[in-house]
Amino acid sequence: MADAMELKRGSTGPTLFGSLVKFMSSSVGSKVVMAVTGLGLCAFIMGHMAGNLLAFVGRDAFNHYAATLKGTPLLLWGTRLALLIGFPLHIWTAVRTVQLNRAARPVAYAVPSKAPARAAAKTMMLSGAVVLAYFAYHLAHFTLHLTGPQPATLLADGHYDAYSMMVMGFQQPLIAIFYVTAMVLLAAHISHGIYSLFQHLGFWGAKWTPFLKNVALVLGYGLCAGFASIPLSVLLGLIKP
Amino acid sequence: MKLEAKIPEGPIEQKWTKHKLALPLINPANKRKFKIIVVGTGLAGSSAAATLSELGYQVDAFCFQDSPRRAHSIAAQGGINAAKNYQNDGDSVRRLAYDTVKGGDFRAREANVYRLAEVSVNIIDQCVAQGVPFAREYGGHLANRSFGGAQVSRTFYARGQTGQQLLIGAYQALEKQVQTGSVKMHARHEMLELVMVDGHARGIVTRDMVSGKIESWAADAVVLATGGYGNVFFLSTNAKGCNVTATWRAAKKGAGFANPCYTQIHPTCIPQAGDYQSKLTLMSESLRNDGRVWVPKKGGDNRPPAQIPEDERDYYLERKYPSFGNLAPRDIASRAAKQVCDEGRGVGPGGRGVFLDFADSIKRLGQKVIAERYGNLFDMYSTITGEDPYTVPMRIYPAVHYTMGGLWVDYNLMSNLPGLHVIGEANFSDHGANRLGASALMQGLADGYFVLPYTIGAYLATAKQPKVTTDHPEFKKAVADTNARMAKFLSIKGKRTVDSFHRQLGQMMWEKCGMARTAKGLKELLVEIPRLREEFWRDVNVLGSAESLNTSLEKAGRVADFFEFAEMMVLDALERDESCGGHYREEHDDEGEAKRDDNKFMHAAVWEYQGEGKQPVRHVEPLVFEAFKPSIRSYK
Amino acid sequence: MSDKLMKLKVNVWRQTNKDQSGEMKGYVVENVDPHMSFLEMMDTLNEQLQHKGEEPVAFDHDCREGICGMCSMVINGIPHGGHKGVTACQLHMRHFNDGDEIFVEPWRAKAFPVLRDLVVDRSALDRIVASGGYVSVNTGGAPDANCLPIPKKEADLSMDAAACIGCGACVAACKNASAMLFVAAKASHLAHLPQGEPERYVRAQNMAQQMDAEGFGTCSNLSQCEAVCPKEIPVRVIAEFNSDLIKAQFKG
Repeated sequence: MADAMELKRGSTGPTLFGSLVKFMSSSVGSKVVMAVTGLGLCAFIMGHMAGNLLAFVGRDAFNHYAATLKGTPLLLWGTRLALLIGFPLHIWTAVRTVQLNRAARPVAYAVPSKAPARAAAKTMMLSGAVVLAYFAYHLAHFTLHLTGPQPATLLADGHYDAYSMMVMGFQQPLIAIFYVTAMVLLAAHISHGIYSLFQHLGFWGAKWTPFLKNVALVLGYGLCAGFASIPLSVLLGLIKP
Repeated sequence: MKLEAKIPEGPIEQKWTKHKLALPLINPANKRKFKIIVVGTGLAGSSAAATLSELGYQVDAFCFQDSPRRAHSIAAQGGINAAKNYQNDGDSVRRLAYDTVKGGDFRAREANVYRLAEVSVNIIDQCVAQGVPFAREYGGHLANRSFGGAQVSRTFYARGQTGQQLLIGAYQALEKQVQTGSVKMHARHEMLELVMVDGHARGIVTRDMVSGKIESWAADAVVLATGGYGNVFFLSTNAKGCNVTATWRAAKKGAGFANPCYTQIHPTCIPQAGDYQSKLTLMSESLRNDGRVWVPKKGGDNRPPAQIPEDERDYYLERKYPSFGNLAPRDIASRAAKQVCDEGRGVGPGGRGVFLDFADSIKRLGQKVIAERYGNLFDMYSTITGEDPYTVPMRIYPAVHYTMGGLWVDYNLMSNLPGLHVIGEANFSDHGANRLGASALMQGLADGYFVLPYTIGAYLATAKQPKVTTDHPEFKKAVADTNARMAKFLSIKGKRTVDSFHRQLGQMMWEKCGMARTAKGLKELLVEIPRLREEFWRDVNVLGSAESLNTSLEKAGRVADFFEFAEMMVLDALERDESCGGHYREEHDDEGEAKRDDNKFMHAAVWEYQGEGKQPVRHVEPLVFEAFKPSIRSYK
Repeated sequence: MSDKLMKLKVNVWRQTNKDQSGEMKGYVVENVDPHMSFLEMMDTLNEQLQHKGEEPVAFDHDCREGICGMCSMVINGIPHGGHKGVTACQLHMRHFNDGDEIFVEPWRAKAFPVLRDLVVDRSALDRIVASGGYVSVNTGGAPDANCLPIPKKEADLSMDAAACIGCGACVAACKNASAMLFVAAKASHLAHLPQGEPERYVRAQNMAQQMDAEGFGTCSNLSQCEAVCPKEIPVRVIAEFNSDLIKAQFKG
């Protein structure tokens, strides 16, 4: 019999690396890349939030956390490196996906689709783009010190007074609103993203999948609540300069 | 017309084995030099095309649907019979063969039926190997059920979608061969003509249903697996596209058409709801296990069924057939329903329906049990009718379901035209005058997987015909004729649509050549059909062009062929002056039972086309029963 | 439920062939019986059109009992009209009201070019099956069917996926025109059976590659496919397919 089912030429590359690249550029493989990088970004965001919540403890705790982070190059640069790889990959696969999907339906329906789907799932690109824009602003503000209110003097140890930067920023309602909006969209993004990454990585269980869907919701909106609690507290005067 | 059945000598158990040994073989290297055309991709066509290509032949396969997987075999719900005896209830090849011959009212060819039962066991093995997900017991072994009144459990099934799963198995085998390049699949191509060269079937003419292009294809043999002609009645359980064109075109080229009057009427279909109705939907026969069939005792009783008191109801099947009751065989249950409706006691719109009532079973077993057994069928019923069968009795009425007649074939499944092979429902050989439940799938796959692949080799090895190409004048002529025919339809520009003619023909056929037939009615039809056909050719309106996707043009060709075929069918019904199986002549009735006339009609009637306006000639192939003695079917 | 005949405004996509562009055209359809199926309403429209000398609307249909997978129309923005487990041929007009305006469009995807009106070319799905959606076994020589016990649970999971009728509604409904539900259903049907095991990973890779080559979109887990699937195939099969593809990377 013939060879109907031989692995088709072109579906893998000649070397391990070649094969991986081939897979990662396929429609399913690119989603695997998106899922893995998304998982990494999610872990980063969780760590970040935990640090941010130190604001409730007080200025010193917060600044100590900032200083420790800066003072541990391995942790700092390890995280930065992961972000420098993960973020562009996540974005690149998103752009590629959009291109593929636009090409897959060249003529649109006259009546917009009424096939049911969760709003969060339908707006991943939008929520992702807003979060990205916020991320850029956030870097410019806190990391590169290019914009936003900056404290007049550095701390005694030469570091920026991160606590003051944060409070000064959030005292401006526009920045706070931008921040909270971005966090709500991030929550939507994560709540679909976490469910989705299990699908993309091929994990499914009759009992697990519905549970994970709920976990994704709790996690997404929990992160949102955690992050958003800080600017709201600043505006309400619960966190003082 | 020469009708040599070529039944092998010897005891029935050894005929097929001996025959296979005697068949000449073709060297594997030579097989690839032969090209075979397979028309139709249902169970028979797909399985044959895949298997022939696996053997090394080049195959060109055709279907009119957009994909080979759509063929109407897909709609079979119930199951497939096989003499596996997995249930240890005494089944055997011989018993399955006997049941099939008896079910067919001793009008089938015994040797073919025995072979069918013999290869039935291989079919199940093959399908399981392909990954057909048959129902299984908790221990992991295959489940069986008893079906269609059989006394043993020999029916294999896959939920209510057995036909679908078997067809997908065959379709996947076919696609596997498409991938190797040895099957060329031509979907959306409809066969419109058979091409004969020097007395051998050498090719076909098709219309590309998208571009409208008329093309011809040459080969060394042609296989028709094009299904039945139930749509001559317009309303049937068949798919809308099912048609007689391929077999009728072959008949017009000289292939004998056997027993065209044998049609099977299925008793449990959803009744027609209005004049706009386009098809009838079958409800599984299994419903009769727990439903009771009744009509009001008085005609014109329009009260809601629940308000009709018990003593004003007529449970007519239980009354007439106390031992079988509601489980009386298909033909008998169908005729009984017609009878009570003819008496004016039918229910529902138009008075063509009887109640199938689950109230007693629900009372006895509880709604939960009934829902477990028939939930999906009840859902289907309420989707279609908008009524809830848990609270209101279902309404059912018989409908045309299957056609046992078809092109005549010999033991090798070859018609009287050398090279033209016919398999599945398209041939006449295995079901006699009535088909048993779960036997159609069995026959389609038996022919395609396990019979034709052996026998066609014998023809190819011995025919020794020179190669032909489509440049041959016979092909050119067939293409020109077909083009002219298309142009003719478009040039009439009359006032009536194709569908309106088809509907009218169907109604006439159903009234006078349907469940019950009389000489008087049939003779009237022989006047009415040509009159309507003449009107069709004068007043049909086919819009658009031949060079595009044109659904009315497709239908026009099919309906034109139904018109010609219908006349042959009526003639056959008239000449068969007996009742047998699905063919019921009111003149031959033994207290409501079909009365066979074995002395005069123990034969297959084979009709030979004589040309337009001429009466076809009736030939006979006597049926000899050596292994099974004919008996009277009685279900009282 | 009323048996009153209805009058509807039906807007249908009309397109003469693959190469020309089309447009939505509105027609008034009278005498629509609530017991009609949607396709019978389309038949009625076609009768009316032909009497006026206009060519009938071409649409694919065959069995009209919800199993052949041929009928394919997007009705008011939702493939097959949006009733659970129902194809367009089994959708009945009693779900509409007198005076309703209805929009009927073909499946829309690059991989499903429109051939005429509502008829599209779905041969891409056949090519995906040809690329690997089968067990490579020839006719003959199969062992006895009961040699290979298969746990009922696995057989049932396989059957859930095998119920796919290949209509393509999943693609039509998907925001991304992805064919993942169709492809994964085929893979899952065979992956749950021991017969399909030997070729399981190669099959997944080949089918995925063909799917991409046909120009379908990617899966974003919106589950719109599951929502419209007339055979209610679960998106579970997509997770299984993804898992097989990932495992296949470690097997090469």
